[in-house]
Amino acid sequence: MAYKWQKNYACTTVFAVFRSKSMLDQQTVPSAFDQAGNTKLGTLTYFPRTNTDATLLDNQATMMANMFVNHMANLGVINEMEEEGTTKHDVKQKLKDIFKDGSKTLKDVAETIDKMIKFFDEE
Amino acid sequence: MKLAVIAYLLVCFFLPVQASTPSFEETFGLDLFDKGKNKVRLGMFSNESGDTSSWSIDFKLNKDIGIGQPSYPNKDKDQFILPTTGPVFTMDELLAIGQNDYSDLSDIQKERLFAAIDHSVDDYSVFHINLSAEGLLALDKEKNLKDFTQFRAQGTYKKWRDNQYTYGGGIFATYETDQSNDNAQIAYGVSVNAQFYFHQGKANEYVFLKLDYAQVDPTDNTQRLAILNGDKSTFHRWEMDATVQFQISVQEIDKVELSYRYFYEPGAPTEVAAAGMNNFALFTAGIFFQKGWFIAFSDGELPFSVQKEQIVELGWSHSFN
Repeated sequence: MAYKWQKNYACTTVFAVFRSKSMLDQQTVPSAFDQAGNTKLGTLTYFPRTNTDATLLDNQATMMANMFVNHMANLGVINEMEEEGTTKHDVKQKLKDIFKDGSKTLKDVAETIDKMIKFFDEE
Repeated sequence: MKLAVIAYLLVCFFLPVQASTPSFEETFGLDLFDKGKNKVRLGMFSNESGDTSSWSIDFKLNKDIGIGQPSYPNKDKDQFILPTTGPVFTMDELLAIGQNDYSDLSDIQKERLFAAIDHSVDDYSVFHINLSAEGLLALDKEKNLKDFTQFRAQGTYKKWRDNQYTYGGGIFATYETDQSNDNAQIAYGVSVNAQFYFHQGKANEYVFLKLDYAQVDPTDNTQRLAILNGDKSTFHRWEMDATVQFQISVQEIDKVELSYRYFYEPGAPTEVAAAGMNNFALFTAGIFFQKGWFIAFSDGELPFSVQKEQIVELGWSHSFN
């Protein structure tokens, strides 16, 4: 079944981390939560638009993945990892591939972390 | 109102670079294939005067192969520390944080939210191989307007330092061709790059620099061979790439991007220099608005461009629900 953008910890965490000026500060994400899930990553501030250099895109995706996980870890919303022993680096690597793809959406980011992390609203 | 003033100023800014026709050509397109980092798109591209335009296929394919694990010196910091009690924030509080409204948060929550990140966890080095292909193929073969086709393989070492800067380098080999495949050449050499972020841990503002030095085999470059009476000697080429992205204090504008690429053949034969084939430069600028509109301008040419062009693109990107 397709993943749904809804009011759960995975999606609200993605929304908070992406939009908050004290975190990733991606202000092209709509301020209305319901509309934010379909926002394509290629329209966000971090995504290079005039230069398609692979190294530049890799660097930008790395920075976003690093900081997303660092901020999420600080927020204290993670109950446990789906797989014991999953490190921050493991989550960062998965997210880096997503962040390199401009056609992916915030919903895809939420789905990715939801598969690796058990949040407090999950059994 | 403010937006209208900005739009007027932008039009005034771009008008002088246009030739005789003061109209912008809108660029639009359709994704034919879109999976992961691989994308093929059909779109309309036009030059600045609007007298040359063509449906083109814009493609970008990429495969990254990591060699070994990144050497993480801070393995202990790489573990998630999980709260022993319940969540620190409710979902409603997270929604408020996303709207940059911190008014209802407790002191403890604010402390948590604004806690200094320990950036030393992201201090590592990694080696990887990257295979990529990108280009713009005009359906009308005489009208390649923007870029040249390139296949590239490279092995790269990257050092990532504390979410503040990164640098790296490696070796590469590329196959470059013009849109009609009449001219092609192979280049191989070394590449170094560095990227500096204006604010630690913030991806929005940076400077990116890349320098390549290559030996080029022009065996299939008919244009060059014609100028040099069939001389197939290899030559050397420098490529410099500088890109800067920054934000300005105008609320409607999300960011500004400026990019400059320069190719130079040192010691080029007189005939090559006389034909203007010993150096190429391409400048690209883009202003991106909060609501999805953007204006992009490019001037110059890359190796194998059909002709020197100024291209203005006016576009709008939107994520449909």
